[in-house]
Amino acid sequence: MNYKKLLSLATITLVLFSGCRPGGAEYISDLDVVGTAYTKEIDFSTRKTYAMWDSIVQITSDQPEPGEDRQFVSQTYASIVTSEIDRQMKALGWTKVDRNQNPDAYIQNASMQNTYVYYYYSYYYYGYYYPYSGWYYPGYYPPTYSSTTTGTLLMMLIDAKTESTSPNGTQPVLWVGVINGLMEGSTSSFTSRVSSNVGQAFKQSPILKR
Amino acid sequence: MKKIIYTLAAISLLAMAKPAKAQDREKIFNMYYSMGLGTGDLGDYISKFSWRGFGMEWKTDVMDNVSMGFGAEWNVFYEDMGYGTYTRDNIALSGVQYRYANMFPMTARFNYFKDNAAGMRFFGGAGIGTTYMIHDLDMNIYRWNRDTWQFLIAPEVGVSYDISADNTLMLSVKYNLNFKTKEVPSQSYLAFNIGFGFR
Repeated sequence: MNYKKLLSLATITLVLFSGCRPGGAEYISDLDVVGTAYTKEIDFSTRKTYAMWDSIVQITSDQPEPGEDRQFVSQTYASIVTSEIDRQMKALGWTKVDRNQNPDAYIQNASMQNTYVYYYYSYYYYGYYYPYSGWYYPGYYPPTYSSTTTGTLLMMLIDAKTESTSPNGTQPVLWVGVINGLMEGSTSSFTSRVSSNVGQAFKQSPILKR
Repeated sequence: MKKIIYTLAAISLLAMAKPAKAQDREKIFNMYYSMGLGTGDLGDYISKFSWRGFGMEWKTDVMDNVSMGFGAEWNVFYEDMGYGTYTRDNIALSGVQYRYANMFPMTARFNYFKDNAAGMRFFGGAGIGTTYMIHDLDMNIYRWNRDTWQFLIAPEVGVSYDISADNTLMLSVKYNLNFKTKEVPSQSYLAFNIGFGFR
């Protein structure tokens, strides 16, 4: 190999090396996010007891009409979430009471799923040059699609002490925690992610500490 | 103010030089590997050293000690921020952030240079032009994207060494000083270049 070829090869290698796309998420859990927000208008320190529904409402695009039954997520999944919330609330100094024991706040949870479909189609790829179906112009690729399903858990701490001023009787939300991630992975890793993300929601909310 | 200083420096260098004879003019095409380190706002966004980059330039001697030309680069900055909590006022968001910055500086360049008998050429100068930049921030399945152009002045010092009659080895350090726009603060960085020149 002569000198010029060697230099050219070295330069091309540098170009290829520099063109490598840097990394990104490697594991499903890398895509999990936990968001929290609280209201600044209400004094949290006067709230010490809470009650919670054992079930988790499933929010779907087909919401039930008044009088129809609501959909709920499986009780197994709901128990994982509610027991972790109980554990976190206890650690923060809250006391769980029954709903008829006049709690300072209620916790209500809801869940929803979204599916995103990614579709790529190039105009230049089309087998209309019969009979050369499958022909495509270099640089343009066959149509492809992929889909991703994400799950969201919504945790709401609803104030029970403030007199409702809303015409339909709704109560103000003191704190909200939102967890979002991919609905993938084994059952054990999924439940582990749910638990740790619920824990993170409370960890990043020092305002809830009693 | 900085723009004026750099412009005056360029004029001074040109004034110091004598025109080169046409037959003595060296024309060279450099291709080089470029590494980067963000400073200021870019350094705050991505503090990690960038090992990804590539550049090329064409230069010709226009006077005894002055060369002019143009060139373009591509530097890719990336940082895995790890799991973190980002708080603003009463809102907190936790997750893993992946930050990317693709920088494409394009400049017209001039250099003042000194050759020695050992085949080395020391040069210093500056480029003036623009940088197109794309910033991406990935979190969850979402990507926040921002792209803009910024005015660029790029002072540079370096050395090239003749490894054959037609080829040189070049090393240089360049500061890509990108000026802020209304929306985006200055996105500047140091570039460390190593490559080959082809006459």
